[in-house]
Amino acid sequence: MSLTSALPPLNPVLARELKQRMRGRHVWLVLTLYLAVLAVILRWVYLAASRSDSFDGRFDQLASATAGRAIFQWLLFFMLLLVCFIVPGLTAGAISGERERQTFIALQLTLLRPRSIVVGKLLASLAFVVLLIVASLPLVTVPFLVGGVSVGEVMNGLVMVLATAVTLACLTLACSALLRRTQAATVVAYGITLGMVLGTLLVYGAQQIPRRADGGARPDPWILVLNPFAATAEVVQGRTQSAGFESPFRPLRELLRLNDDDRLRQVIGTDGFGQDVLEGPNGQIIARPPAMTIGPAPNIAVPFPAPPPPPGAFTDFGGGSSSGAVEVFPSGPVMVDDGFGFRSDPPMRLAEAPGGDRAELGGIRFWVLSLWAWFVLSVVAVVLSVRRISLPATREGA
Amino acid sequence: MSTETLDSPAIRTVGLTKRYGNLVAVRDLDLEVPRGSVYGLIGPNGAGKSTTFAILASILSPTSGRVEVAGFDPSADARSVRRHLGYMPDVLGVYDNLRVDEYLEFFAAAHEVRRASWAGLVDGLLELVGLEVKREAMVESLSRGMKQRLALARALVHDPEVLVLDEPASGLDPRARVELRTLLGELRAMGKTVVISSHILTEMEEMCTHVAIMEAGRLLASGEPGEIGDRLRGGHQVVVRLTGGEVQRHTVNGEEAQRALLHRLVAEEGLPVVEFSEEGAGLEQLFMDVTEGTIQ
Repeated sequence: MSLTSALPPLNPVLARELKQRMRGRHVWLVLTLYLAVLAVILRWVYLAASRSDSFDGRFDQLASATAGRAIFQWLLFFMLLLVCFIVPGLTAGAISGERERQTFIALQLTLLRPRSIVVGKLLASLAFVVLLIVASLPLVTVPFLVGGVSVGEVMNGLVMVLATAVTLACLTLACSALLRRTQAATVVAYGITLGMVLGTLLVYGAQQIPRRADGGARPDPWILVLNPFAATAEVVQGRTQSAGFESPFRPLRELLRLNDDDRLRQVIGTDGFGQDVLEGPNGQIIARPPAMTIGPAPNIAVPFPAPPPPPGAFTDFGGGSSSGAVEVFPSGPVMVDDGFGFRSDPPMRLAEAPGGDRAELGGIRFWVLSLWAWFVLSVVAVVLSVRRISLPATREGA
Repeated sequence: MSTETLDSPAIRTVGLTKRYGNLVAVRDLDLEVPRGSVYGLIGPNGAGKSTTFAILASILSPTSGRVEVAGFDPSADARSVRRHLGYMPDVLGVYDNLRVDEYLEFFAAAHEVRRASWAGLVDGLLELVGLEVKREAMVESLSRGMKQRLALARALVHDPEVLVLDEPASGLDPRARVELRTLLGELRAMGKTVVISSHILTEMEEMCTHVAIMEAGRLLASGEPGEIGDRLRGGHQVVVRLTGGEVQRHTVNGEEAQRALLHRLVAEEGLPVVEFSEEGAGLEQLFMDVTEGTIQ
């Protein structure tokens, strides 16, 4: 008690809603179902990974890393999908529900400003989403055990999930404020979500029909800026397809003309020990015995991730979205850790891949554009909501 | 119009009009609610009582006219009005999954009451409305009468000077009504101005120091209950029933001296009086006299 009273006062609406929500019957149900779905996905991808050809009883760092990437990407994909299902449902009744229960007038006649009410409602919905994300963190960290994913990349993915949740919460709240009934708000909110996820793809598809007929270039995918899956697809690196897994984001990455060529298994050089050097799925360097010696080749377990490189050495072990193919090998004398603690000169520079790992529209990174677009939409939604619930009303009925 | 009690009235409206499209809900309403009074707004459904209250409570803005609540204009300075006015709507919405004390604490927080004083405030309010034993009960589990009392406690959370209660007696059983009346008496003793609307006229007569009668958005009469009757009818009918079924009717004005005089005259004549009663002095009769039953 003394601890909480020392803290700055919580938004009263948020404090009340947290109590109410956590006492509700369906909280544990939603949480359990959400984690169950993610756990099933994890298990499924993991099984598929351990049955694939490249996982033939020996430890193969590359196969392991690829499995890690597959797990991460599928988990992220489903987290995004579940957020799209859960957030509108959680938020649609925020204001219309109070109107229906006839509690809203009393709330509006307190000294709470309309924007405090809106913010409290938003935070209450998002608190639950944050709970879901935090609860799923142990699952998301599984890829760290098998490798192939960097912390930065996981963070990027989670930020996109959270940004999607915030945007959907704001848009749904506007539905709840502007429409009188929760049922209508729910329908419209899911409609908007469907429009952002599938509608944008359809529109983009339709845009291409005339171009394809005259053989012209594809139009820029501006409309996909609104699509949470497209933005997330740019943030994650899509090179997963080699070991028999298809990244769920790959179709979107192709639409965004992101480079997804199958470079995973390409030997890009040899180190001082005669081992093949490969570019790992996330830009990291993997060394392993030459592929020439097929058969009972000595397979050396490579510690992964590699021990931290000394200062001055190559440090970017897959810096998430920022690690384009070019940045992996900065110019100048850089040492590459080959995984054994030995360092050698970089064997060769990677040629810049066509398209690269970044999608840009009008010179701005695609995911940045997305975040801006969502931000603008959210602000408009919040402003509309605040105006709608401000009293005294000049229009009829309140 | 009524007696000049204190400096400025708790509520004053001048030419208040509210239109919804073609419908005129409130028409040129002049109200003056003296401080410390229990003011009853009486009228049939659709008379404009709830609309008037919504304007007073800063829920709606008027189409035209001037409004002052505790010295503030609800449409210009809604926050000041909200600081000084407690409003209980005619509908009883409560939250689910919330305890009675948490419910009141929430509204205390929303009214910027300091956290340190919440506990004492909740205790005091629950005692006032007689819900101490329900302190930890879930709000939605309360009976209708209890919800009503809780709503009243909620309206009092920020210690407002003026209380506006829309149909507080509707749907209450007789016992709960008696309790409500006692409660209103206590509020009056606390120095609060209470405005209530109702169509249960007999109740209003006992509770209110002032009444105003509305119909079809218009104010038909206002003032102290007895005073209105006198003005409208030019006096009371006193019925003197004698033995043998003979009945005499006398008209007196509202003053007690007149009634006493009549009583003495009747006694001095040595008539065999069986019953000496006033007729039609009640609000019920007054209401029927004044309203024409027009439906808008």
